[in-house]
Amino acid sequence: MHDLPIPRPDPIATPGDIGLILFLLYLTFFLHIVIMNGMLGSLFLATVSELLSRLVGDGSSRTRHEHLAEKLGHIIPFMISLTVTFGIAPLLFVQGLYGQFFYTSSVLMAWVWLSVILLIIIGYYGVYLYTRGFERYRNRRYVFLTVSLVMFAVVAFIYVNNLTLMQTPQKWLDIYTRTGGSGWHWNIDEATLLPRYLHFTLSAVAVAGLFVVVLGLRARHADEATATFMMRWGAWWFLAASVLQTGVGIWFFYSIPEHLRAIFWSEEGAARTIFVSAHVLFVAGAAFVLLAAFRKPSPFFAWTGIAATLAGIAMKIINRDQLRQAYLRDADWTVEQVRTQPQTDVITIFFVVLLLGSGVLVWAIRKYRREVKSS
Amino acid sequence: MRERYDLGWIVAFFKHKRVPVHRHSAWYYMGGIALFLFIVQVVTGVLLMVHYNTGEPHASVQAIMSQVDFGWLIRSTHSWSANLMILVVFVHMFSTFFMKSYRYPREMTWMTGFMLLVLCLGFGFSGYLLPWDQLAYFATQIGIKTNEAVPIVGGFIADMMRGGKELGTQTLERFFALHVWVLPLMFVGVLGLHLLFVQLQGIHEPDFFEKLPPQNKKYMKFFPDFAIKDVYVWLLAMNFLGLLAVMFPWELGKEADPLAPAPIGIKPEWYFLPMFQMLKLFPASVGPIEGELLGIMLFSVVGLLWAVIPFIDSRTAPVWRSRAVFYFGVALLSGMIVFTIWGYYS
Amino acid sequence: MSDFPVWSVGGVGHGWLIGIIATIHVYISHFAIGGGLYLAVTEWISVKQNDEKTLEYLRGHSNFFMLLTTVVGALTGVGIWFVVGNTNPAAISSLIHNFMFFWAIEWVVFLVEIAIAFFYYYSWGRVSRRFHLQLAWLYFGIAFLSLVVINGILTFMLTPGQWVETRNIWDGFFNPSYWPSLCSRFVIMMTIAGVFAIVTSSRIKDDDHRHRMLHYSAKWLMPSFFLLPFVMYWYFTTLPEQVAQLLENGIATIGSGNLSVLTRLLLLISILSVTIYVVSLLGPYRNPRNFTFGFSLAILVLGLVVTGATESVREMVRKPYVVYGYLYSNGLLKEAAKDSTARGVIAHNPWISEKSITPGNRKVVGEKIFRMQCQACHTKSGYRSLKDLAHGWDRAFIFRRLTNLQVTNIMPPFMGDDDERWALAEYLGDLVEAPPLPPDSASQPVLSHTPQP
Repeated sequence: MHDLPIPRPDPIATPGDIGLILFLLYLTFFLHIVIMNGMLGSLFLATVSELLSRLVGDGSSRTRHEHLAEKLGHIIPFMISLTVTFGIAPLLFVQGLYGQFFYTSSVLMAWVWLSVILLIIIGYYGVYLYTRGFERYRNRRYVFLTVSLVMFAVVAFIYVNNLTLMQTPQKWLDIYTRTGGSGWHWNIDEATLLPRYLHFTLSAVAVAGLFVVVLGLRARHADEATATFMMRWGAWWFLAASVLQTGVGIWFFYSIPEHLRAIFWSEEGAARTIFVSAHVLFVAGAAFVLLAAFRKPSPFFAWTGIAATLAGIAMKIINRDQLRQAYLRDADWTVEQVRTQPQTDVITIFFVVLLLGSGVLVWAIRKYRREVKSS
Repeated sequence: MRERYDLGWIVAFFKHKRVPVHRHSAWYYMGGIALFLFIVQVVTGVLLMVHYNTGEPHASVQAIMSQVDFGWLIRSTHSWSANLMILVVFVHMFSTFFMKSYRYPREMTWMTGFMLLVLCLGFGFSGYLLPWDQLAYFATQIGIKTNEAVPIVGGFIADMMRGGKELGTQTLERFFALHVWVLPLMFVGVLGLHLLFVQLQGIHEPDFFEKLPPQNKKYMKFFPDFAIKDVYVWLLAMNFLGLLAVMFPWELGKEADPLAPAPIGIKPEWYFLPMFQMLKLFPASVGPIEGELLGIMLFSVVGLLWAVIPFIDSRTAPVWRSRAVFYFGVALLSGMIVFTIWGYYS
Repeated sequence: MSDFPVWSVGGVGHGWLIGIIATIHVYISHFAIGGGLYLAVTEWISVKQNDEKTLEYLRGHSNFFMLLTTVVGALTGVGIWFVVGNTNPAAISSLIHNFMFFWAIEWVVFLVEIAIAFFYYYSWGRVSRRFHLQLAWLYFGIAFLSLVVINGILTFMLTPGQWVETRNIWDGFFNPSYWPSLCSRFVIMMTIAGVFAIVTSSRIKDDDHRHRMLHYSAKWLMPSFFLLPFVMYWYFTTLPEQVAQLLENGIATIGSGNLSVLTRLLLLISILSVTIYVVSLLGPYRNPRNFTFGFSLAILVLGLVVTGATESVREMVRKPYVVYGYLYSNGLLKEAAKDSTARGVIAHNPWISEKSITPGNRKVVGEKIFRMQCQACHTKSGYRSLKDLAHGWDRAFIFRRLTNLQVTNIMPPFMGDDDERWALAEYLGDLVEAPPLPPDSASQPVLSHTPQP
């Protein structure tokens, strides 16, 4: 396997412990993926509601869907911003550990990879146009939302392309020779590509379903009927996505080469423990959410279900990296090979800044809430 | 000072003059930009003339570009400005055309304007040869040859331009004289008239503006309001010119060698391109008349019609005629654009 | 030449691609900081004077500000990262490895900056004026902090200073040009804030108020007008000797026919900047009555062009390095280039499958070497194309030029042995349509027809 075209690691050592960077990678990627799921899923649900509000005849249902679409439309720009921002950090840490893999696959699909910037800008402004022009473009506003949804769905697809390509260096040389470095490669011959993509996008719908449940919970005191609609509507999408996810998950699992997926099932180890507990958490989470939405509108049940689901996602994120490491072991590479030389002083400053930054945010949020309430 | 020469009336005059404000006001800047570019042409042209030498044209242009301080910039500016000026004159012409500013009482403004355009093209044609590089030489040769198609006088005109049967040093000297003396003198004269007419008659108000009720008509004073805007526009034009001249300096080809074969696919400058491309479409002969001659006749007729448009579409002309003139203009403009692009890519 | 594959972008070349994205980003991100100061100062004055009209204007201006900086501004920033990663992975990799936790700090700062920007805009009229003003100042403080961090990394590339020897990260961060660069960017961003404010001010409906805001906003161009020459001079004194020399030559030869791109850019920057100042003085400052939206947009565009030109000068003077004295523009480490022509490179390059050169594969290998070593800066027939640059050269001359590229002071040395050099020379020779070598020489042992450089 020595003839794989894997670039040598950077001559400058990675300036932090592998454990620390992995921890930060998991943490920030978890935040990124949850917010991204919420954003992409909300965009999907908003589009569905927007279209339904145009199609369904029934007056009250129409207003409820219009209301939901508008409400989500107002929140989505913040989610996009947070998704982008929380996407930066994991991309940084990935480059510190897996740099030579990530850069190479990015170069091979350079135009495609770079295009996400433009797609996100278009999608971002699409949502702003939708909300800012909610009344003015009453009849055409669904176009903005749909375009945004398509943009972000394509962005997600491009990400899955790159992140699967980076872990299969066996394919690189052939791609480079074939494309001549034109940067127009799509990794569509990858068996895991489609199930992996569906896995992430279905998860987006599920998370957004949960988000709508939360919106319903918060609206309870103001408007009982709307609250019940949102909780049920959200829970319904959560359920539907989860059921589909079961099928897609199995497909994804079996699309992974046998000796790699073994870490989740047939080999003993941390990966298997995490994998199994994640699924237990998902099932428990789903049960609580459904209970809260359809049986007993209890915030406690709802929040427990949400917490369990999020914990399951966090575990899946660790699983995801373990799978990547398994892939790279095939290329005779392990993350332990990364040379480190921790810059303790800079790391300390980072944590201080992180603490101060969170402090500032907490101060701003609390003061904002207090003042808005009192006014 | 004021006692001796009371110039207050000039200021008063410009203060009195007013410019209508409407959504097409932007076109009013075009004439000003053309004027500005002409000034640039005069200044850079004079500077270039100091170092240009008809005895060794190519070498002297090369010296201007490599030895004279800022010579490269002056020459580059002169060339770019020339092209921009022709472009702006075209834009100016079509904008006044579509606003129907040529109508009574401004017929003479239109006709002097048309003459200025012809002079501009003359400047372009004569100036293009002066660097005496390969491209200039052969493009000019083709340009002159086209004249020979005209019956009886054609050969004479071509010989006049060349100063003989062949394009050579004597041609260069004629073109030089034309470019720096004859054309400028004529141009300044006609331009003076053109500007005088504009000042005397004021700025034309398009129909839709004129029909507005008086309280809805907005004007700005020419001085200082419009004048300062003109200054901005000139400054911006200067910057645009600077950008082009600095970033895309005008190139100088190899010295012309009359004995060498003409480069393949040689084309005239873009402002002659539509005519050039159209001429190519004419068959070798139509009945007894030569194709090329037919083309030239067509251009002459179109040009003549264009020059006398104020009389065809006068204020009292019937609606159908006015409309026909409008479509004629549209056809001419789109034809020019299409044939320029076609010519460029063929 | 690194171990990474090379992206063939075609005629625009790597430089323009980075340049376009970077210029937009630099312009907007400077607005994001300077505009923050503008909002804070202007709101502070308006609150003190109880100037409702201006507060209403600021609300609209901050809407525009937020929509531009948090979307295009933020994403083009990520865009630079992506495009440099695609065009020069070795460069981005060394910056990430060196400064990983500085980037992480920058990320935290950026996160808070964006959040406060949202709070600021969405709390207009919903919170007390005092708190709103606090948010404005907080925003500016945090935005400026983001400059404090990123400035260390940006200046590091041109003036890594002691870092090259000590490899101490603080030497690299607080490098020689750190402070002058910070000052110049601060002064420039006030100008950019003024320019953007002129644009939004020109849309105010109320005549008197529009005139007042135009006049006020034009004042924001003054600090840079007076201070920039001094700050720039200070900046120049901190540059490496070779760079200073390059700039000096560039300036000294503006008059003569030296048409180096650097010279032309410097000239362009001066013309455009002077125009911006003159128009702003004449227009919004002195005669706001006649200054319309169209003209303000024109100033905006001029500013964008100046930004682009300045950034390209900054990039250009760094040649042949991407990290001065450490990493060449094409990803080759300076240290690895010591014995550049002693060893063959294709044997170790993972992306060139031909492991030895034969008469049959010579040109194919030549093309691959071109991609690896030249394409970081050059294209075949587009921007900085070899077709133009090597026009009229014959193959033997190209071969000789390849031997001593580094004497130009703006190019890295060629890496590879004589066979590889011939392969590249043959490829380039084909590109410029040079006559083929005499039939015997191409098959002869290479050294026999190597002219001494």
